[in-house]
Amino acid sequence: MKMQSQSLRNHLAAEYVLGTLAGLARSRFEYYMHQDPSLQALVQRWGQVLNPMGSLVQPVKPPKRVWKTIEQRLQLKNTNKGIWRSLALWRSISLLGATMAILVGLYLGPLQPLQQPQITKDYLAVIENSQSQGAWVISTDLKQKRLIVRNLKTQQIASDKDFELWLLPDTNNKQSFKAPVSVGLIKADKQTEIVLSDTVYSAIQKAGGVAVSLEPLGGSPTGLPTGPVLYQGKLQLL
Amino acid sequence: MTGTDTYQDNNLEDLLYRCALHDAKALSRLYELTSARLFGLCLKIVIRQEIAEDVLQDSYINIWNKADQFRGDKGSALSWMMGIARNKAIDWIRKNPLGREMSDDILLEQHDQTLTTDGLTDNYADMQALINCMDGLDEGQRNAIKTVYYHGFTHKEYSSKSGHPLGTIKGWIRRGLQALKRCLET
Repeated sequence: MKMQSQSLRNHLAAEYVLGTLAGLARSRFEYYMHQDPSLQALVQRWGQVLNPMGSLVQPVKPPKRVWKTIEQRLQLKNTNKGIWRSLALWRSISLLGATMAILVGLYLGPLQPLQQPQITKDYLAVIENSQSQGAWVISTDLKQKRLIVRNLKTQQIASDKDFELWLLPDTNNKQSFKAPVSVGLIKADKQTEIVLSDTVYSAIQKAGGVAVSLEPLGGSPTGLPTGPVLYQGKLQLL
Repeated sequence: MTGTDTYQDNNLEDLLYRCALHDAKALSRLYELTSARLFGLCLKIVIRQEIAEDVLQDSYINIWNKADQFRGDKGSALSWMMGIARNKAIDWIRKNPLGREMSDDILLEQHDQTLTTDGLTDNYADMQALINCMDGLDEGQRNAIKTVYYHGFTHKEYSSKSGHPLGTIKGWIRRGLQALKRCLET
């Protein structure tokens, strides 16, 4: 299958979305698509053209067992209890927290006298991509109402995009907020210091985690993430 | 189902963004709002209830895992989800070409063009535009595209079901798709 001709690419993308490709033609097309973002974009465009047709099909309520199986397969119900009861996990969290506390302590050593009494508890998070590669370390200084984001390495980003940091709701805490809360834009190549608004300051203490999404320049226009979520991390109490 | 007491959001786009952040309650609400639409579509393609249930499960698992790839500026959330469900259903029938029994009446089926009244208007504008453009196609082109879309036929399957030569079917679909695209772009 030669995929250089634009009209052939366009036609195959349309036939793929319509569903007429079969056998080798279908698997070959999928092979090319997974490697070629412009082919993915064509498929997305044809999906936008043809898939509204699906809305004309009579809805049929699925049996309750379908949702129950989805919940089980994704471990939506039990994961949290299971994880929070896991001794091994608690040990790893404590170890990670202690290690990071020492590292941050060493880093901030000259700036913060050790004798200073701790009035407010602070948080720490290591933000990782889906391959568990650390990208940023976040630490809070709630007494000063500020948050510091340190780069573990320089991140690549297009010139018309920004990284935006979000606080994620804690789904196990009914008191937690419902939608992600924007903390602010973070720099790809150097440390960012963010002064916390009252909203973010109170949200940090009810958050379940943090995430970084890719947004248009200047940040999300909607107040919610609009781009792919590239990095996530858990907040650890120090 | 969990979370419906606290989640009343009807905005599918918002819910998908929250799924990208692994908010389980958002998936629960999304399922509550859209599962009947997606199940109806899967059932139409795979015919068998138990297979449609499996396809629906796989579809929502895919939606959960791929939610971070959804871009609101590239199309509606409902159409994006329908694309995932339809793709899963077609994967199944391509792997099991003899797995569904279809009556010949399928070709006589009239595809309703009225909006489902479940309050989801996420892709309403796209759908109205599509209906208008479909009306402008030749009858052969329109029937071919609709029947193939709703039942997941290959060119060859539709040719043998309808009795029209394979070349005619391919031509109808190719020219029909081009005409649709032109119409929707104007």
